[in-house]
Amino acid sequence: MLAGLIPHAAEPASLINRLSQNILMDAIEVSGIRKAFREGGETTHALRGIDLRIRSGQAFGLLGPNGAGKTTLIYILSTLVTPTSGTARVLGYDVTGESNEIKKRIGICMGGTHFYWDLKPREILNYFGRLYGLNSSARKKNIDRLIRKLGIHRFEDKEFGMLSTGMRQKVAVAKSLLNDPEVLFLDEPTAGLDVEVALDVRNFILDIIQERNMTVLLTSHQMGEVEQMCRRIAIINQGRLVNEGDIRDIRDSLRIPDVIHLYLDRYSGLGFLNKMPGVTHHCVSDGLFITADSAGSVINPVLAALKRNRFTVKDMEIRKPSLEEVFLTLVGRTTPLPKRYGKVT
Amino acid sequence: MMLEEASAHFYKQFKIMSRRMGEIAWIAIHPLIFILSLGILAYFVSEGGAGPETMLFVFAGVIVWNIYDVSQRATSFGITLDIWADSLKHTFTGSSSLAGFIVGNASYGLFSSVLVLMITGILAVILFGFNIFLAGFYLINLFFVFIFATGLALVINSLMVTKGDKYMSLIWILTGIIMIFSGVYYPIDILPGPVQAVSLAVPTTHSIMSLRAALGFSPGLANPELAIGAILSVAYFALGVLVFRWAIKRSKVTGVITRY
Repeated sequence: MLAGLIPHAAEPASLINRLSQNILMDAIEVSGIRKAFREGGETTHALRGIDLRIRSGQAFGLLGPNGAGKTTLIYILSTLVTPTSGTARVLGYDVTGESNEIKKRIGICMGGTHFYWDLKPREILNYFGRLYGLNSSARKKNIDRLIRKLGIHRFEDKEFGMLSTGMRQKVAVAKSLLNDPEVLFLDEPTAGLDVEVALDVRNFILDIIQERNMTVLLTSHQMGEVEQMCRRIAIINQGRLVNEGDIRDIRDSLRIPDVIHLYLDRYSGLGFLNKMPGVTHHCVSDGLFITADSAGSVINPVLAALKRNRFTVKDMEIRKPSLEEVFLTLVGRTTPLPKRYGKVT
Repeated sequence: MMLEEASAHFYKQFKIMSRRMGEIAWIAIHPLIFILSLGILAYFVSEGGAGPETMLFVFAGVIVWNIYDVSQRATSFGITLDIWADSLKHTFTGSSSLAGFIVGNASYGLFSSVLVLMITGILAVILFGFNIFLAGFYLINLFFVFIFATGLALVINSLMVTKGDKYMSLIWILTGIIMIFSGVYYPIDILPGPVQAVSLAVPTTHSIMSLRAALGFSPGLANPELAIGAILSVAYFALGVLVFRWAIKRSKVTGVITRY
């Protein structure tokens, strides 16, 4: 029965086996990847041995300063650059030996994308749709859907050269989704966009990821964007993997303190706070900042002590360490908070 | 699948070129100027005592050279348009096979060649009474000219994807060099010995000779020159494909492909 309904499904048991393997498998497996670029007698080591696994259906963030090797890794995974050594597989296919199989199944969207200046958005999408081997009805259906969903119809008649940065990026996003990819590479997809367009693009990508259960590898300098889209991240610096895991686990493992920001009626005579257990640091600027391993364990004693000493708390804010602070700590730049504010006397 | 990919490259070139006045002129106006200016020159020389064969000699050369020119440009522009648009990486992360790329861009070259043949051939008949279509079967020489031009275009593409856009100027320079060596306006016998040897290694030299022979200039040469031209053209084309295949691999190693 199944064999009649599904092409190539002569053996239902093996099909189910294969499907379950696909569900459980790593969509991206990177093992010992190194990449060195040689130019003019100089060698630049872009990647110095990266190991990474990304589960199927996962949205994964790749963070790192400029020149860390993020884009090189995406280029390798999208088969555009050949690694110097190591192996990488996307959806089980080897990036060097089976690049055509990979290219059919991936989408890639980069920030600041350029296409042919003389072509209109629909023509650009038509070109890439043909490149992906989509027949004319599939092409039309996908292009119509993406044009409508991304609001490209509002500037459909303009040539690419006449479009704003935001409009161009919407065309780039549409192009990356034309072939219904199983894996989507997003290399700073909202770079250079204004807040409103960036939000549009981000929300659209988020919707489509959830709708299609796509595997996503995202690089971005917008930490909020990574936090919003991904649960797991890897941080690379100077071609090496610095840390990898669940954002919350990484944050906890680094023991970056929570910050309690208190707005008081006055800021003198706060020395009594230095003697409180669990309060590792406190400093004053336009408010009282208390840093503690866990805000929850110190907040009540601190408020009680302030009340005892006749301080009035006008407002209060508790802040967990941001991904930006996690990132800065991991790439060897300390959390800026203690330096930013003077110590209480 | 490969045909869809090939159609992508044809579609891109057709759409872009049809919007650029300069490119339309290159296919429509450029050959017209050649036919007019060189036709009048040939007429003047033939009337001055060189004989009616002069017209045949010049027109066969001019038509072949124009077909070489548009064929080579079409396949070279497959890469050049991507470099200009900073979109090379998108084309090669799209599911673009080498065969799809070559067939698609070369198809645009073939399409341009047929247009050029029609424009130049019909104008030559109307304005000067010279009919290249009388060559009949031997018009197949023009197909081999197209094959050779595509092969050389792939070599130019290889230089661009491995060394960068500084080699782009070869697209225009090479057509001039080929014109000099192929004996477009003169018999290669008048060239110095070593240059003649180079000329004989260029397929267009033989294709032009075969076409001229088919039209009545040294008739015995039509078949042997056709064969030599065909063999050399196919050999250059095969070499171009191999070099381009290697160049794409090399470009992925050096990362040059990601620059554009």
